[in-house]
Amino acid sequence: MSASEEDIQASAAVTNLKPKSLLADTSHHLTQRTVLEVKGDLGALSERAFGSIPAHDGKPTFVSLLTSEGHLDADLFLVPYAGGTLVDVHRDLADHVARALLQVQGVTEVDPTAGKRWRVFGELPDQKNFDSQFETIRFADTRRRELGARVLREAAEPEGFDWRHFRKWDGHAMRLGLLPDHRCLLGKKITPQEAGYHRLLSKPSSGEGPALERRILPMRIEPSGDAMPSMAGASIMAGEVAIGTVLEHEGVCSVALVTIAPWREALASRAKITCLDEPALLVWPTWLAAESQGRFGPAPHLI
Amino acid sequence: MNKISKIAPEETQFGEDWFASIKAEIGVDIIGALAVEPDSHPDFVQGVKTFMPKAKAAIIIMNEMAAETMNLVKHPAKYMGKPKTGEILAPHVDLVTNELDHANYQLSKILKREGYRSIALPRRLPVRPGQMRVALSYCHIAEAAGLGTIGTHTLLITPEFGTRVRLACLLTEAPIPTTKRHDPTDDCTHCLDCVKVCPVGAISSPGPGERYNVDLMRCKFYRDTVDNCGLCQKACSVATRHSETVTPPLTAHADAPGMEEYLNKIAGRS
Repeated sequence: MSASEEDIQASAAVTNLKPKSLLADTSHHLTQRTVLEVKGDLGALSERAFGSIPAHDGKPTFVSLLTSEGHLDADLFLVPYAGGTLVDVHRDLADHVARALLQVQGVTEVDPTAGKRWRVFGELPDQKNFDSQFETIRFADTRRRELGARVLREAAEPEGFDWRHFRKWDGHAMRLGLLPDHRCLLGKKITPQEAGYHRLLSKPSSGEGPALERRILPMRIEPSGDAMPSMAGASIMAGEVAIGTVLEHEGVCSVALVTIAPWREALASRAKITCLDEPALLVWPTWLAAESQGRFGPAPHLI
Repeated sequence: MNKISKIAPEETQFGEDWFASIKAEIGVDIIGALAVEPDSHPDFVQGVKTFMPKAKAAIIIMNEMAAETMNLVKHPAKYMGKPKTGEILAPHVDLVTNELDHANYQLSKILKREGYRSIALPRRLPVRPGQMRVALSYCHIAEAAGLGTIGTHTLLITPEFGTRVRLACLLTEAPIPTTKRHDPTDDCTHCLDCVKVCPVGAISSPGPGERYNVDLMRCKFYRDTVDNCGLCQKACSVATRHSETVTPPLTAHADAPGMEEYLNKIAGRS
C-alpha cells in the first residue's frame, strides 16, 4: 500500500467528522443504459469483438463489438450471472446488439426484458453507495481505474432522489478521453486503435504506439462567455483548416476525432484552435501520453 | 526618474537559446512565457494592467520542491502519538520560494540591462476585492504557457515534477513570445485521489461544466490552522508518479524532449 493510499484510508476513517465532498457524490444513474440477458456460450463473440470475453465464472469485462470491417460498433459490459451473461448496453443499440448476439455460435437465447429487472449505475473511484438490501452486482470498469465502478442494481428498489444525473459521469469519462458510449460512432468507421483501446483492453505495447492518422482525444472548451452552444458534430478549426470533429460534448468536456498531422501543424504555426468560435484545447490523455511526441516537458519554443 | 525609459531597446531574439541561457544563469528548473496579445484572456490582461500597463509578456519560473519532504506529509489522523513530520513542509516551501524570489529579481535585472522595464512580482499578490482570487493567477499563466495542467485540486501539475513546484512571475515590456508545448498532454490523471484525501472535504469532483470545484475558504482556513497541509499535493505526486526520488515518471515517453536532461539530473543526485 502506498503512502498516499494510507492517507486516503486515514481520511476515510474520519469521514464522519468531516464535511462530505466525494462521499456526497452518490451513484450516477446511467438511464441511457439497459441490460440484456444472454443464455449460452459467448466464446465465439471474440471473433467480432475487441476485448476479452469473460468465462462463465469470470470477472465482468468491457468489450467493443466490431462491424464486419473491424470498426467500432457497440460498447458492452459482459457480466457473468447465474449461468448466463448480463450485457450492459446503450438503450439505442440494444436491438442491434441483441440481433448480433443471436448470430453468435453458441448463444441460445437473448432476453431483452432483463432491462426491466436491472438498473445501471456508474460510481466514481472508490465509492460505495449501496447497501445490501437489494441484489447488486458491482464490478470495476476494466478500461481505466479512474472510471471507477459500474453497478447493476435490482430495479425493485425505489428511485433515490440523491442519484446523480448520468451526464456528470459522462463528463468524467470525457475528461479521460473516453467515449461514454458508442452511439455517436454510428457510421464513423473508427478502429479500436483510433479510440486507444489497444492501450486499455490489451497489454500495453512497448515503445511508440501505432502511427495513426486519426485519434479520439479529449478536448476542453474555454468558453468566452457564460454559455456555449452544443458542439456535438461540430468541426474543430485551426484557423481556416478543419482538424477534427466533436463526437460528444457536455459542458467544458468533450471528445473529438482529431486528424493528427494538421493538428501538429497548427500547433507549430501557433494557429488558434476553436470550435464554433470558442477557444478549444486538444490534449493527449495521460494514459495515452506515451504515444504523444511531447510528453515530458515543454517542447522547444515554437517561435 | 526612471532611466530605463530612455534606453532604446536593442534587438534581442527571445528564442529557445535565450530561455536556456536564462534558465542556467538564474538557476531555475522550469521557465516559460505568455505574451500579452489582443485576444488574450480578459482576466490575464486585466491582471497584467494592474501591475504594469505596458507589459508585453509574463514570464513564469518554477523550482522543484523536494520529494523527500513532500513524502513526509501525512493525514492528521496518522500523527497520533508521533512527531508531526509534515510540519517541515512549511519551512521547505519558504526556502524554495525565497530562492525563486531571488532568481526572479535577478531576471528582472537582466531584462532591465537589456533595456526593458520589468517587475518581479512577489509570492503573494493582493486579492480582488470581495473575492478569494488573486489579481493575477500564476498557475493559469503557466498553463497557458504550456508548462503544465491545472488539476482537479487547482494546483499546477507539471510534466517534470508534478505538483511539487513553486511558481514566481515577472512582467516585462520585452516582446517575448508565448512558449507552447509540442503535442500537449493532460497532466491531470483525473483519478480524484485529491478529492478523497482532503481532510476537510474542500475538493469536490467537478461537474461537466466545471474544470474544478474547490471550496477555497474551507481549504484556506484549514491550511492556516495546521500551518500548511499539502495532502492533495502529495496524493497527486503519487498518482502522477512524481513522488519517487530516484526514478523518472513512468508515464514519460523514453524519447521525449527533456527526458535525457531529467535522467542526467537524477543520475547526478543518486
